[in-house]
Amino acid sequence: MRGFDEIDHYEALEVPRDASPAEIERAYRMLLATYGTDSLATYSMFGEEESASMRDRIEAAYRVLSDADLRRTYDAAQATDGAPAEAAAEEEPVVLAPLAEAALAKPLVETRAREAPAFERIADEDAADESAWDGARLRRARLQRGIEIDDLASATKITPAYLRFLEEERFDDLPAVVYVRGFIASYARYLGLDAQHVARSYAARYEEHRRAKPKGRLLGRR
Amino acid sequence: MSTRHAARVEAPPSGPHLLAVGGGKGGVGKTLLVANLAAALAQAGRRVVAIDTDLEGANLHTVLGVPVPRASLADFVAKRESDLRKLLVDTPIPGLRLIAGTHGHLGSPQPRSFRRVALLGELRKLPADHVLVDLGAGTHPSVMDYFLVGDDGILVLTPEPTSVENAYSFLRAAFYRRLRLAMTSESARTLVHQAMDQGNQRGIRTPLDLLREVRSIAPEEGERFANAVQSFRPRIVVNAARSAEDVRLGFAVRSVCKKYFGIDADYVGYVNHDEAVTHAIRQRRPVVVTHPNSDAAVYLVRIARKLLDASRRRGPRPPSARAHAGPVHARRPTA
Repeated sequence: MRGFDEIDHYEALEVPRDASPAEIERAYRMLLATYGTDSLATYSMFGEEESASMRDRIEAAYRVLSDADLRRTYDAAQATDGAPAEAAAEEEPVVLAPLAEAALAKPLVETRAREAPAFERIADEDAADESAWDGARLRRARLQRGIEIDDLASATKITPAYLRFLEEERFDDLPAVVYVRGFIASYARYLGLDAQHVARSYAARYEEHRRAKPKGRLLGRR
Repeated sequence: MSTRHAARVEAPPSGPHLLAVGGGKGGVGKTLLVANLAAALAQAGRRVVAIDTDLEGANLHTVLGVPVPRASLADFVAKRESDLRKLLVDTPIPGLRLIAGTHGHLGSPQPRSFRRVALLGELRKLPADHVLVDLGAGTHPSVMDYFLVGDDGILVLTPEPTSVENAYSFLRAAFYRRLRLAMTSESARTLVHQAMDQGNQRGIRTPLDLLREVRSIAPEEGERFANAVQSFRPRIVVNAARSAEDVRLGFAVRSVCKKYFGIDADYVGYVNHDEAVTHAIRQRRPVVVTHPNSDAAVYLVRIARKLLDASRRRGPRPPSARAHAGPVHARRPTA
């Protein structure tokens, strides 16, 4: 538990130290919305002044972590001067203050080797689920991450209409399987899913549907 | 007085996994969540007891399809019955039994602190793998005690300002009550008590201010404080979500928990707004039973599975295996 001025850039964005640029980008957008004016989640907890200083802190963290060079310099500086709280705690276990704070900074349950950013952790169950990837499951996975169709469209350069067709499994309105496979891979990648696996699973459904229909695309059309 | 007793009943680490569901505001879906998680766990082959502690507005029995039962928790509160097991009634769902909260005393429905301590102890003796506790609205000390002694506490909120505000009041009440239980010296406890008055004269506005004050009077209390904060892991569920923005609310609340309270809350999932839920309530059955393929049911089952995994990760309950389950304070309020 520390003040805004005492946390480092990674803590400010609530991402692990090895977060990918995409994860940093998503965390930044999520937090800006969280601490924005009129935010449902914060208006009753933080005054406008506090929210503003929180936004400044988030912006400052993003400026550094979103720039590969600045981030490298920052990481190097942190590694040399006393920053890592864990190291301090290990060297001087009798000093109470850093020990307690180091404990706070660490996740309670360390089961995974690599901890996903907080707001993406909800996605873990997707990986465990063995069933096929259909349109409804894709939509659920998207909503679970709080991603709108428009966000996805601008990130993947797939039109919102196609994205909806993919989710609604309107196979007849979709292009050939190679394109669909590519679409699904981009979609899955943006969600942080195993792109290859998801694309293969979805494409199988698509091809099955195509096979079930009479031969010849023109005849098959509605 | 009651607080110290509450701390003592947390000691026996055996018995069923205790899961409390609260949310501050009425009508946000606490009962819906309890009924469905209980049903989902029972369908997964677990022995489950659902208990309605909302003695002023009991309706868990209705959602589970049980006609108004004659036996209820009110009998325990009024000392007509001292064995909770005798208040269990069957539900139409195999493996799931209920202790209803019907016909509570209209004048003083909440158990007094001594009775509460007895009750919290009795919960651990119930013959079940999971005991799900449906909490009433508000932040009455009895509500907070159920929430804090549980192995897991779920905070339900809906994407509405009123619900979010009450969820934070609830969280604040739980947070400070837990801290006060963790403090051993009278002076530190007084400090926490003062901080609970949000207009206090000492200028303690945030948990961080309080931690600094506590540390300045007694460093070892400061460490206890930090441990109590660290081991407090409420779980968040957003109910009646209609959009991706509503779903994001859970992440936002999680962020506030971290940045304001310093606690690691866990967003375990959301339940979307779904007509199937309304239909299920009219049929007086959990939606996971009546409409297992509806979106709401899919999400509810996911949450149940997640909680089941989490309770397993913490280690099985038999004493033989407990040594591997990690430090006690990691599983239980107040180390």
